Amino acid sequence: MNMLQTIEVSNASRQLEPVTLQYARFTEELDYSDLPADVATICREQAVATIGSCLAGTLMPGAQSMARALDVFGAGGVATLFGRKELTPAPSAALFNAATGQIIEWDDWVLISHVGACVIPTAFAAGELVQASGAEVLTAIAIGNEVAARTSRAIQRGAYLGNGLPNHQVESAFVAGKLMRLSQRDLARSVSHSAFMAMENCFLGWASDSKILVNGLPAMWGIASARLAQEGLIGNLDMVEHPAGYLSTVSEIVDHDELLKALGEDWMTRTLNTKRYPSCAYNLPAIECALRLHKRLEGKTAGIRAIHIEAPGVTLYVSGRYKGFKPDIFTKIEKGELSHMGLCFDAGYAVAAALVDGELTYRQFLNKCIFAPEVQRLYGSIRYSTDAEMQQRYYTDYQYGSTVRVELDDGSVLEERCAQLLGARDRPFDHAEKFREGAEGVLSPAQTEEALDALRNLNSVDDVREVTALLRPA
Amino acid sequence: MTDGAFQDGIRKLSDRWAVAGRGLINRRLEGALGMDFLFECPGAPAKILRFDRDSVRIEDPRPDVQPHAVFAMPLEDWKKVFSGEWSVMTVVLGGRAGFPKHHRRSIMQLSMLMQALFLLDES
Repeated sequence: MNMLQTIEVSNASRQLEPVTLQYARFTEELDYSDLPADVATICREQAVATIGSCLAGTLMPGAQSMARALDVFGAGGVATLFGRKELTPAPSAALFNAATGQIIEWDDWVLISHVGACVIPTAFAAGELVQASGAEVLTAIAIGNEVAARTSRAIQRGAYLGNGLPNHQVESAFVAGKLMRLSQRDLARSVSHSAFMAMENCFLGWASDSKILVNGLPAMWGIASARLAQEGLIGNLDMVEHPAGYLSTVSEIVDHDELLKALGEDWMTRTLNTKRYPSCAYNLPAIECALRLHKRLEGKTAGIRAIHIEAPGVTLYVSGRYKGFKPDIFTKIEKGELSHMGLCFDAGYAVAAALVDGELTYRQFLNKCIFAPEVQRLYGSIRYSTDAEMQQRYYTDYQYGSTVRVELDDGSVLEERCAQLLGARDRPFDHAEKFREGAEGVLSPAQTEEALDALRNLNSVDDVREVTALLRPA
Repeated sequence: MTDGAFQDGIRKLSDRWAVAGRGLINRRLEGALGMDFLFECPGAPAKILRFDRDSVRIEDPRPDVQPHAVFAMPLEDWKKVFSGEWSVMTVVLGGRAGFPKHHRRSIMQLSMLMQALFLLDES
């Protein structure tokens, strides 16, 4: 039987392409030498930036809770928790590293899928499990990006946005399965196991540490699923595209035509956007404006009487989602009923904190900053308005813009405008900055440089463990 | 009083949509178009709103027609929504409005559009 035969869908009078098996064949056949040089470089740089976020994420209280809890998954450590000394089973490491990669929303996205915080932890943990080469890990990362980009585009008209898009159960199984050297059939089976319990996230949980599971669970379960398939557990071969399969379960709309578009020809990895600052992507241009304003004000924010943020409607919508709690989000954070997480989506909070502190790092998501009186005062002085032109530019060309205006007590007004976020595909920065910032306080300066150098030469190592050893504090 | 504020808000939404709705809509948000949204507020007559690219049709609910999505919340929350300070999803996450699974795409997309519309400067 031809494993790539099309599937008859009688009630829709159309044929769906065998997407799962096509992805599986792409995954099985792709070799590092097939990657265009720039795509391989992007994957390597994606690892540098993502691991930088993971390192910073370990300094958050939620990460420390998770690290203590991992013993529930058992011993037998083979895989690295980035920024910590211990080794754990590979699925546990994938869970932890995916969680720390997003605990302050310092991640990346390809096309519209926040993929790095799933793919990088999965690839490194599975790679350590099988002692893969650096080139194999990079190839698996590219596969994850290419699959995630297409599945995300296929469900972008459904209810979910951005990091909420529930597509990672597909690429995580392919990433892990590639490193375990599964056959095409077993790769498809692994996706069936990975995606069967289709994980949609509860919108409410984005204001608590539960949110860090959004990529963590797919990463962890992708590795487990690949292993199940490797041992012969039979799964469906058409779970991605089937009308009663994964994507149709998690999304009201599935644009099937997007799923295989130019796979292996048009490399979506090239659309990688990497956040320079931790926060929801929609907030990043406003943060940049606030940091510039901090400099112009020489850090003297006491004279600010009002702040005005103009942005696309989606920025304002995301920013305002957690303002309806009773009592309010800050009281709930103080009482331990919510965490800092909701503030990662609040452009107003990020602007206030950046204006006061002149930086936006993990420190601005700790209670010391959250409850600083000046941050709270400025937060209360913010008003928002929609910039219709920015709205259109976002939806037509993924341009993320914002304007921040501060009115001072003396009547003067300072304004900064940013038309595209730093880290966008058309406005890159050196990911070493992010790695070094993330490693601060986790790895020594010397180890930071050694690890950075090793990651940038990942393609040349025979065993990825040579690199991951450098990501554990000496 | 309740009736007036709620109806005024609906009228404001309709007026603004007619002027600026087309400029905000796009393919990813078109789930809000062509659907019947039931707007409910205690103490005020409910209304059905149907959005197209240039206008909003406002009708009384009919018992034999099921809306595609329901926006129901207290007046205090409607006021925040009509001011643009909050989106409907803000109220949903506050636990004071429903979010049934078969309504969620429409609710989210119209929620975002409404807030964007109310936060457009009236110049």
